[in-house]
Amino acid sequence: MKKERLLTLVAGFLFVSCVETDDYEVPNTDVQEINFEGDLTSISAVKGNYDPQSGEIHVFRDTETWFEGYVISSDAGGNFYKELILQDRPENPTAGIQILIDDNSLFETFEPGRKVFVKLDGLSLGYNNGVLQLGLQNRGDVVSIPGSMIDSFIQRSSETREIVPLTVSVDDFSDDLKNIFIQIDQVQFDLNLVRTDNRFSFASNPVDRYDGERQLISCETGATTFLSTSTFSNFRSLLLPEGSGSIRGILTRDFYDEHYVVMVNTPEAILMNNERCDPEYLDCGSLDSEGLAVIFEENFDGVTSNTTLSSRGWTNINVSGGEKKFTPTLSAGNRILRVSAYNTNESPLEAWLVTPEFDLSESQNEILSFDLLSSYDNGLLLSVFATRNFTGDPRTTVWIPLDANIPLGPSNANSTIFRESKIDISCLEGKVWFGFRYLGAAPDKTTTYDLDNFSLLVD
Amino acid sequence: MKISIFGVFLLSLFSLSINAQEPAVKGRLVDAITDVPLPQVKIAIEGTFLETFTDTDGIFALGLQNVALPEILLNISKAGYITKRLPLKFPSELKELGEISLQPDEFFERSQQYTISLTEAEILAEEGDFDNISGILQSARDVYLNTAAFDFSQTFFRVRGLGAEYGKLLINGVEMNKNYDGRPQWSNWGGLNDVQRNQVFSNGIAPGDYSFGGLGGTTNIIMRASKYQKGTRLSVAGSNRTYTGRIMATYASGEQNNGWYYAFSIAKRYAAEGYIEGTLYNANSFFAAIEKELSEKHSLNLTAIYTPVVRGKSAPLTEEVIQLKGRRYNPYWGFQEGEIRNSRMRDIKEPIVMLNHFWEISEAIKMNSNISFQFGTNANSRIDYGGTNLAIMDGQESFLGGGENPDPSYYQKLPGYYLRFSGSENFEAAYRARNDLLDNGQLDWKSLYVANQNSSENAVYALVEDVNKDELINANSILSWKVKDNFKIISSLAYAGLLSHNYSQIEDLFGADSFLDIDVFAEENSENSLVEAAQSDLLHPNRLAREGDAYKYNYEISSVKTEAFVQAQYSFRKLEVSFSGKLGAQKYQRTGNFRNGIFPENSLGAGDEINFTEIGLKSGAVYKFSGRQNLEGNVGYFTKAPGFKNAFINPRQNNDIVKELSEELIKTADLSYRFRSSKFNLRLTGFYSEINNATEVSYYFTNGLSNLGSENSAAFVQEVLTDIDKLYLGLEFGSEYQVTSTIKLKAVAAMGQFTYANNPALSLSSASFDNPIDYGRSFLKNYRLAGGPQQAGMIGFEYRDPDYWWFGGTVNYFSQAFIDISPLTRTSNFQLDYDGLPLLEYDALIAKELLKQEQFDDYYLVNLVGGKSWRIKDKYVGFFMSINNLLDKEYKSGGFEQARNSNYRTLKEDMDRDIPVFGNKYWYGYGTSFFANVYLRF
Repeated sequence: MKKERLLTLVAGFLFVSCVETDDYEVPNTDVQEINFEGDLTSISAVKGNYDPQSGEIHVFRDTETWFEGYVISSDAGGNFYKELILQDRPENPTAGIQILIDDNSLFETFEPGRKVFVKLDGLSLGYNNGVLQLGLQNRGDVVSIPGSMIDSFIQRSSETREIVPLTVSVDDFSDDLKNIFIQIDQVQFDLNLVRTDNRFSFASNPVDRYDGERQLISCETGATTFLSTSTFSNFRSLLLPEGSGSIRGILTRDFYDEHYVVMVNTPEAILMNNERCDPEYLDCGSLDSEGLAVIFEENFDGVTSNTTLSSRGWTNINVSGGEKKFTPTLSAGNRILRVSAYNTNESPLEAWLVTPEFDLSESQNEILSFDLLSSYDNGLLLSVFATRNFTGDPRTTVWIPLDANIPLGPSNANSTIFRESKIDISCLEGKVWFGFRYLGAAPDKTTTYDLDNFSLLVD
Repeated sequence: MKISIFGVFLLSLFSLSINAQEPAVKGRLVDAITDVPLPQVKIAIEGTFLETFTDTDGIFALGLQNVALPEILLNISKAGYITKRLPLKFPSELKELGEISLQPDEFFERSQQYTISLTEAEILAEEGDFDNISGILQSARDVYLNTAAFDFSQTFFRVRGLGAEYGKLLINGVEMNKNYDGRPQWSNWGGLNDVQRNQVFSNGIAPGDYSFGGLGGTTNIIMRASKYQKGTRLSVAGSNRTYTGRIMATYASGEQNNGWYYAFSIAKRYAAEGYIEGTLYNANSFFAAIEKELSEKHSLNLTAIYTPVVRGKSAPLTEEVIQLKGRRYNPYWGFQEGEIRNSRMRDIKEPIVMLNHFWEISEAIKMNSNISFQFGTNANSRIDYGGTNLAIMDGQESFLGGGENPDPSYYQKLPGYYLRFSGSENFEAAYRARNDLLDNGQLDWKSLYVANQNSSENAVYALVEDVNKDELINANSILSWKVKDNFKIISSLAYAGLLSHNYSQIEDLFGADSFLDIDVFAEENSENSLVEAAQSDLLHPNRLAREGDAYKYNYEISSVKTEAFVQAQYSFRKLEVSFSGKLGAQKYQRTGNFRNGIFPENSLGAGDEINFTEIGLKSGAVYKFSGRQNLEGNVGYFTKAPGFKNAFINPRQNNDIVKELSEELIKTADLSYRFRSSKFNLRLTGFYSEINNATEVSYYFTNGLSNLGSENSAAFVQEVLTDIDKLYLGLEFGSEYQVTSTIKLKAVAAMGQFTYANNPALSLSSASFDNPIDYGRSFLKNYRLAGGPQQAGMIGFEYRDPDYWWFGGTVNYFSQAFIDISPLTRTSNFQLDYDGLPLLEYDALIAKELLKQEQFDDYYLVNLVGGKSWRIKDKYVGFFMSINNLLDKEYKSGGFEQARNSNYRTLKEDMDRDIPVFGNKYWYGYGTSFFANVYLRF
């Protein structure tokens, strides 16, 4: 009997587990309300400490000041890397700022909408890549806050708010809107980026080095800007949407501080299900002509100057009051016409190249053909038109837009690959002129285009 | 009491049916201290195959017909007792020996602890690589093997250099080695030390009584209800090794009315933390056996074993981490609300039920038939940090998220990482990383909960388990026929059918509801888009997995094994010879339940069958110069099917089978000289083994692969090493000298040389490239095999006081332990650039230095052991304690080269650093540790 009692005792002991191996108490993840000592300031006041004249890094010392902000960026999609962007209010913001942090999954702690408090003492403010950045000073640079020191500079509050984007139009972009969560409505990607046979991805084309920049056009004003996507983002290989609609993202500057770009946290911030709002291109039906016979050809051989060009019946003018026009150039032993706003001070720069007059009344199934090449591409700046009545001044002429293949070139290199456009113009009759319009602006819209092998073909 | 024993004694006289007119011996064995009758004591006539075991009342009777010797030598042995050799004049009729008492061997109490230290080794080695020694525990009567088990095991020492897969482990005659890797899973019966004292061990390829056996010996643990010594045993133990406490209770009934026997044992082992930080441990053990003697000729036994164990694992560490955090450091754990929580838990629940039938067809022919069923799960947890959310834009899918590796010792968080660029070291960041590791250095569970809470929909982090759920049926029949007293034939037929279901399963979503079942690391390739390639199961794209769901991979392996074995043993006056042969078949097949995104064509459904044939021949002879000296030799030639672990290249993702896969070819021979006198015992053995045509599949992430282009030179790969030849040769020496009746001196030496004997073929497969890449030969010839010291020595003593207290001490020396080398760096890839052309800066002299195998430092370990026992009326109380590594020596017990740097450029760059980013990883032995046990027997 005794031993049975003993065994019962032992057996009982077995079921009393002394070791926790399964059920763990869920950690309390409530955010502790922050008690900080010091004053509270605003993001715009913080930014005010930077002197753009001197360009010197401002180091915050002994200010005993904090500022508050709402997280608007997310690195979950890999588009933002080791940076956190804050703006001052969840709605109708007035200022935003970037903080550099050495951590590549910030979204786990600082998700969009989270209100945070940032301690200024110890941080430095500098201007880099077109925006104001907070970080730590390391000689002449502002560098990331190390992962182990995040807690001592940035404190989460328990408050999260939905960030209501500030609706702006492309023409409204200004420095005040940098690092602010915006929405732009009625925009679409340039037609040349979303052609059925050649639809671009966000950032996985061979020309994309660190970021893929894709031109957006406002349906209302025709103004253009760029969607910029990191080549490390999780959605780099998605194809651009073909329709028009809205984008929600953060307005910032490109790496070289040359132009504004919009960056999204997630591809879901792009809603472009509406019809495209392209101009009404000349539509003569489907191209079924092979274009075997050449009725006109200009490969610009021997065109060494504007004089030669105009002697062949071409009109080449700058209509925005500047000097820069299409320029006969020798490139790799080949004569072409080149235009670029690079190294000009013209903003805007509108240059027109208009062909000689053609009479299409005698021919059938005509095709317009020309080759274009794009280098140092920072935007699609070239458009092609036709007219039945050229007044001599492009600005007073009524133009019909033509759906030309405008190539997208490398952003920081010369290209050697021409792209051919073949446009069915069979429905044009009688006298016809064609016009090439370059609409650039120094210093940030300066793509270089080369035009060659202009020809008219018939069956 | 006396009367009943006498009654049984009379009864058994009849049942044993010994004719008093014929020569025979009989007697009764009792414990010298408690006078308790001892069952399962083996009584053998040396020089013949005549042997018998005492019954539950300690009684034996052995007929001596056909023995024509003027004098016989009775060898009386039982585990836990000192063996007795009794010379007798050959009797002309039944000779009554009366009561024979056996002296308990207190040193045997060591076995109480060492099963523990072996599980430690198992925990340390990720895959239980070093636990082969367990098999020779307890049963071994040999000073060499005892030393290997008790003194050498803490260093991962392997007898004859062989891994556990080369030894066979049986329970009641049923093979327990797993088909996955060929190794027995010792946790399946852990904590049942009291009921595993009856073991039969045959060393190396010496003939066994149950099966053909393996190269490394065969152990049969007898766990029949009728084979236990009647009584109760209770014990309480404390330790600072794997666990802190253990309680154990065992009861055996002895024979009840109507021929019933029963026995049970329960135990609990637990630790909030073992010797290594964060290695919590919780193990319960249950055993029950019931046996009925159906008739004189038939017995039926039912044994059930259930030993669920949960324990926290520890990590191998680089020198850099050890220097900062010490050898007890373990990055796998962290506090969660004040409790230690380990992210890498091993959870094994694999109960065994078996039915054993014993049939004495005639006095000479016995048949033992068994059927056994084992089922349950073996799960290993880890943190999946690749949780994502699905984003759909314009009908196109992408996956956002993916967390960071939460391992606090991840290489990108270590100081060395910030110092990796020579000349532009970031000392400030390195200093911060150092302090961060020193101050924190443990897993931050709370941050995982916070991350999941902040994720828009699905979990970023999840605790997941790689689950292996097996159902195994074993059936076998062993026939033993004593044709004559000096001629014995044993044969057996065995069948094993296994269905092994393998999948990973979400255990804890850290507060989130779901986990998107895609592979965040998948890369798009020529055939599959990123979204497709990332799918774990194309049949259920973008599935949301919840807690308890299988995800990532899901497949089954079926395995069928059949074997026939026959063995003949013949004994002459001076010579014993044996011949054994076997013929077997082994079949594996994988069936995928998921259609993997990267391998849509060969992941779902059944793959090809793989068939192996196992044949084996071996022969042994013992020549007896005299009763004191003999010479034993064994030779063997056999083939062995690889475990299915080494048959499938990447079973988690596809059905691919290792190309040109075939059986391992084993050739072996050994020769032993033994000397035995009343005071002095000695054994000297030389052995030579070749294992040819072996295959090994391993997985790792590596940089610097050639022929893939500069963008793709890094990948997660499956390395397939085939046509591996290994050579094992060495000497074993063991001797004991009884100086006085109380003092015994002993000395043991193991001298081995275990090497790769050829240059195996290496190929890599990966989800990152389309076809396996053949890297030709890996130049491994003459590199040493890893796995514990190849040379070891011990000198020690044992003191037994007549007043029942005793102690012993040993000094052990270890040398020639080597790191596990990375075969990939020994291929021609090492010299090639990403374009397949030679590296311009390659310098053969430097390369030789870089590829030199690291040899660990030699070291000494001092171990102490001692105890005392008391007899209080009819109870027996004992105390036992051991101290290992008394001098707190710090030593490396194992390690491996990280395969991250696969070519000359990357490896040299890393080795030139003061702190390599991908330095070798090591396991360290324990410092001073103890085990103490108090037990009560009645």
